[in-house]
Amino acid sequence: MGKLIIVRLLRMFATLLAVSAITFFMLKLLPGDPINQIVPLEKLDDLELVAEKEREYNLHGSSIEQYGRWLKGALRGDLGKAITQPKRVSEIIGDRWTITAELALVSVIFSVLLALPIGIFSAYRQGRTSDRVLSAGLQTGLSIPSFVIGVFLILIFAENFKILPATGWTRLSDSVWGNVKGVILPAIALSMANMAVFARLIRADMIATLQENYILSAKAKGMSDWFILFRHALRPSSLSVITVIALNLGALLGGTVVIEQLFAIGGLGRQLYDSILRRDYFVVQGITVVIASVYVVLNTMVDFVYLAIDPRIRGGRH
Amino acid sequence: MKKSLMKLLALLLAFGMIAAACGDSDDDGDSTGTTAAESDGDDATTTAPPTTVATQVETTTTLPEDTVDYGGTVTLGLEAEATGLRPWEDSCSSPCYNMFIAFFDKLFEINSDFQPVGWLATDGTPNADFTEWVVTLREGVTFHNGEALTAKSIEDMFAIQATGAASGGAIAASGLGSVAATGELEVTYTLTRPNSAFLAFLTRSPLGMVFEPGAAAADPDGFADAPVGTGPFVIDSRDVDNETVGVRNADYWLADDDGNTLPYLDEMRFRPIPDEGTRLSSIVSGTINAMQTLRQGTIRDTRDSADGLTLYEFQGNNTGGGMFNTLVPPYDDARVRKGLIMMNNQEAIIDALGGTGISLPATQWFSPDSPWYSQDAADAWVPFDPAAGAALVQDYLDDAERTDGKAVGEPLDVELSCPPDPSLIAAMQVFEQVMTASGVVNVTITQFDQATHINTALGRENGFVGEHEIHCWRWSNDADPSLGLNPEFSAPTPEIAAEASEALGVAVPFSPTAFSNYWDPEMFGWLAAAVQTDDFDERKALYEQVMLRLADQVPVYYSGHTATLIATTDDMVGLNGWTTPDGTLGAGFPAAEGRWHRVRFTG
Amino acid sequence: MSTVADTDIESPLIVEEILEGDTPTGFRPFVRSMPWTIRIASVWLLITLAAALGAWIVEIFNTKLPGLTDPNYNHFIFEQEPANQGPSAKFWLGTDKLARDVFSRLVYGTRVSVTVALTAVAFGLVLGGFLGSLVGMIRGRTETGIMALVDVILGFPPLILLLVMVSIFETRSLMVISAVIGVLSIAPYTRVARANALSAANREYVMAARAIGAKPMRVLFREIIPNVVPALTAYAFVAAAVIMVVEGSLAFLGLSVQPPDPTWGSMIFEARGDMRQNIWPLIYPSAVMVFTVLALNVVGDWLFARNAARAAALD
Repeated sequence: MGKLIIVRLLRMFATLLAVSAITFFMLKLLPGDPINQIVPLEKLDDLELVAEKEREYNLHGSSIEQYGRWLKGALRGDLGKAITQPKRVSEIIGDRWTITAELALVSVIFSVLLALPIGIFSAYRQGRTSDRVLSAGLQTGLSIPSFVIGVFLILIFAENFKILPATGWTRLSDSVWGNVKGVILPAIALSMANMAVFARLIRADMIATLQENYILSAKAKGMSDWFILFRHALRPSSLSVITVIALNLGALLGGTVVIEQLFAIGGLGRQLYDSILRRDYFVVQGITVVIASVYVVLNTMVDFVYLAIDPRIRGGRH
Repeated sequence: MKKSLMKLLALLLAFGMIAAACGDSDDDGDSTGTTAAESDGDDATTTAPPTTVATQVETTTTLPEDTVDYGGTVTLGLEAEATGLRPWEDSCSSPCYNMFIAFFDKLFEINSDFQPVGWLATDGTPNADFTEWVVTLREGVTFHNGEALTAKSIEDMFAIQATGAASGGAIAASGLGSVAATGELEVTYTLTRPNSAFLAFLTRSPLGMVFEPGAAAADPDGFADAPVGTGPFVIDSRDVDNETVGVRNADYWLADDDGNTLPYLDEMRFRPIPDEGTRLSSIVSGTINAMQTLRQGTIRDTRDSADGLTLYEFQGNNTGGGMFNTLVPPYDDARVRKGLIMMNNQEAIIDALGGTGISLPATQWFSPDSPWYSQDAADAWVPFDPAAGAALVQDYLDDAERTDGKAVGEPLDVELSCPPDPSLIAAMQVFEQVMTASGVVNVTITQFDQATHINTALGRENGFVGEHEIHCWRWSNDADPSLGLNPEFSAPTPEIAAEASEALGVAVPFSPTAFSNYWDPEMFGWLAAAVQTDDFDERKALYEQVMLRLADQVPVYYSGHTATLIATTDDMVGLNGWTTPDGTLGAGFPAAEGRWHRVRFTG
Repeated sequence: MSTVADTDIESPLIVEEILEGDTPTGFRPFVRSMPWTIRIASVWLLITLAAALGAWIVEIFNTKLPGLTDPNYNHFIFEQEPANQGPSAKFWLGTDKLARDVFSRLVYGTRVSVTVALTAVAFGLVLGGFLGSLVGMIRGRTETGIMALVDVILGFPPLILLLVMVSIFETRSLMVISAVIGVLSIAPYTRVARANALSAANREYVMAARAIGAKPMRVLFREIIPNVVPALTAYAFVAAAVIMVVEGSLAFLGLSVQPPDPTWGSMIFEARGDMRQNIWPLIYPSAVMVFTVLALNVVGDWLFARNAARAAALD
């Protein structure tokens, strides 16, 4: 077991290393040389200045050397210097990560809160009309792209009913209520697809659990259906749900780009998109690696949870 | 000034101009013109204007006396975030201007006759040949950090501006050589060449925006988020891409006509909302109470949902359109350029942009309301006539000497390129359709993101010729025609600059932003002559000649003038009708750049 | 027959029907085993496929098909037909803001969306499927190495890698977009194929075949791959649905195939600016996209459940 954990951890670090390397070298393929953006064009024949700026922005030496230095900095928490803003990349990410993280987290919470009753109810009414209708609805929810949902949410809840703001992000530290109002619509837009996935998963798990012996015996003891559902059936079902939630949370961090753009939220996704358009390599690099790291770490943690709970799993998650 | 330094500064200007000149949301233009309500009469196709469109003078007469309502917060939805709030470093377009003007004051403002008038300055006087300008500053103005504004501040500012990314270009374009404090409040600007339009530069960022040089020198990077100026609002917080908040400057130097100190508002909140649709939704839903836009489609939709809103429309001197790379075959042949422009259905393109009844078809750089507008140039502009256009192109195709190296009779291959913006894409597709239908042109449409779009046009790799063919572009005329025209039609490559300097016997500046690469020594002469006199009629005649030459040689083409809009909830007044300290009526809200210091809520 | 509940996701719409009878082989029984929802979904997918094919035919052979006009043809400039029309005999779904025939654009949009999805499926099935089956069978260091690489690629959040890769290319033709999405599709398919290959390789008859010295390639193609294909096909439907949404997201950011070629996503992107004037050019492509994604999901789920039932029957 201990050895397995160490192997997993090593593998996680190897993956992170590879992710950062791939991002680094892939960005080198983007058309254009960042030095053109840093040094005014005419000064490009001022070799001294160019060399100085190259050192400042870590653009000197071979690509491999550059990566080496970047990595060294990254391990110390410094992801380099942004081109289009007078800031360090770490500073930019530090300013913004809470926004994207909150958005992803709240959207997952919404998904779960909606998915739980739907999934349980569907399992309870398995095969009946209400189950089928709900399932069809879930399938449809799963199939509507978040940006289409977002467009209509704004039209309905902001413009028509005027009950929620169409745009704007208030930091939690500034105003809790403002923050809550601002997060609702974008989080709902992001949560629909996940909600459908979770609900179906919960339903499937519940159906399986409901057939277990102890549930049947509880039933025989005359406990009420709902009591059994919540007290007994939900608990064993929760493991796989938690797994999927964790994995989706990681995936969501990258999935907020479109929604942040639509709802004018200044999170990591919007910064990433802008930086790609403005060719701010170092910011793209930093954000990609940070998001990928969170994703990889979450994956590994899920593996650990599995290992701890179900020692039969040895071959890895599929 | 050393030539190499000139070149450098010209290049710096390139970056400043680039952001301004092209694409997406950027629009660096103090446009001249009047309000939409006034221009409606000139435009037969205009639909009935909504009743809420404000005119420039209307509210000055309706200001209720002695009932000044202080307080309130304006949350302004902007179409883009300002990169930073450093006037010397960050290029600033329309959305960013709204922020700049809140935190900084300019030395001069533009009045309703589009002349520079004193703002932080009280006076600006040239010497006889326009190579030296003496500017007198207002007394008793302090920066947000308590420092007093003196001539020394302006001199120290110049030290920072000289190396700034944005200001360097403007310094080169204006011909500014040095700035010296020649008195407690007297500043002398010495130019390297005559420039009769120099004060126009002091009405704009980067040169006109007054910032506290001490704070800027102490922490140049931090200044981007913590600007120190003399403006009506003091920076409170800045959360990039979310919200920038300015609070009332209690010590603001300007008072209203009744002696009440300005500004009235407690707070200005600037919120960048890049998506046009959500920005409009935001104001309709009450999430924000003001917004700006430069998109015709959004103006149309705002008009439709104008209930409870006041619309400040402005038919500016911004001209949208495109340019040919005239150094690259087949665009080096005027027949091709003219033939293609004859296929440019302006009406349909404006319609595609959603601008029917909002935007006027353009025939030159100036809108019909501009004092520089030339009827002769309008009459001379290439008409929409696809058949004649096809014939012209056919003439080129059948020419044994055709420059693109293809066999006689083979159709033309052209590439049309715009940044990925929905309305530009729509406009591009209209042009493409007519060209394709002519049967003599094969069109490829490409969409480059902003960075690539500019890089291909800049063309550092091939001596600044560039890789572009036909590019979407937008020209803005700023406060004076020379600001936009001179860099566009200076020598487009260093090589041409060197040759021309020798041939003409004067130093011809190289301009990397001359993206159409059109070099016409005679036209250059007119443009140079126009900044050596301040006689309006003389200057107008010169610019008319330039516009006639452009209509004849067509290195650029036009779609429509860019209408702009600021919309506010209708419980707000004061965006129009602001006056300069000497009491003349200001220019209003050109290019959707609002002056928010006199805005207040009407209870 | 045991329960199918050990699959992650199963749709109650279809599972019961499968459980009712044996899993049939052959085309007609296969169709007959479909519940009505699956039949509708399949028909919709076939129509989509036909539309894409039709658009390709028009594109390649420069022919005309009934009801279809050039999707970029501006009927206002050339025929004075107004923009933003409602449906008519001439324009079945009306015209958009550039007076183009919305129906034709929708059909042409299918070409891009379907081509991108099918390319991804092809890359995934062929390369990912082969790779996954191979490493699932031979195991050892090769497996560790390849799966580590797969882990790395899957370590990138979806969309992010795609955004960066798409920006590398200066022109975003259909080929470029398809190729980028295709290459990125290999990794997830490899993972799915390997998982299934592992369980196939552990079946007694496969072990027996290898024990008696059957050539590895023969085992791979005769025993492993046939067992991997059904599960992979089911996955392909669900994955294709994801790809369609991803292409839409790219288009929504203005980074999909460049105009004038319409895609569903770019139609939504372009129509959004004019939704207050005419919402239909926004509704139609959105609806078509949702239907198609829904159909792919439903059919994919059904195939999953079917396979699970079959696998359970085999064990």
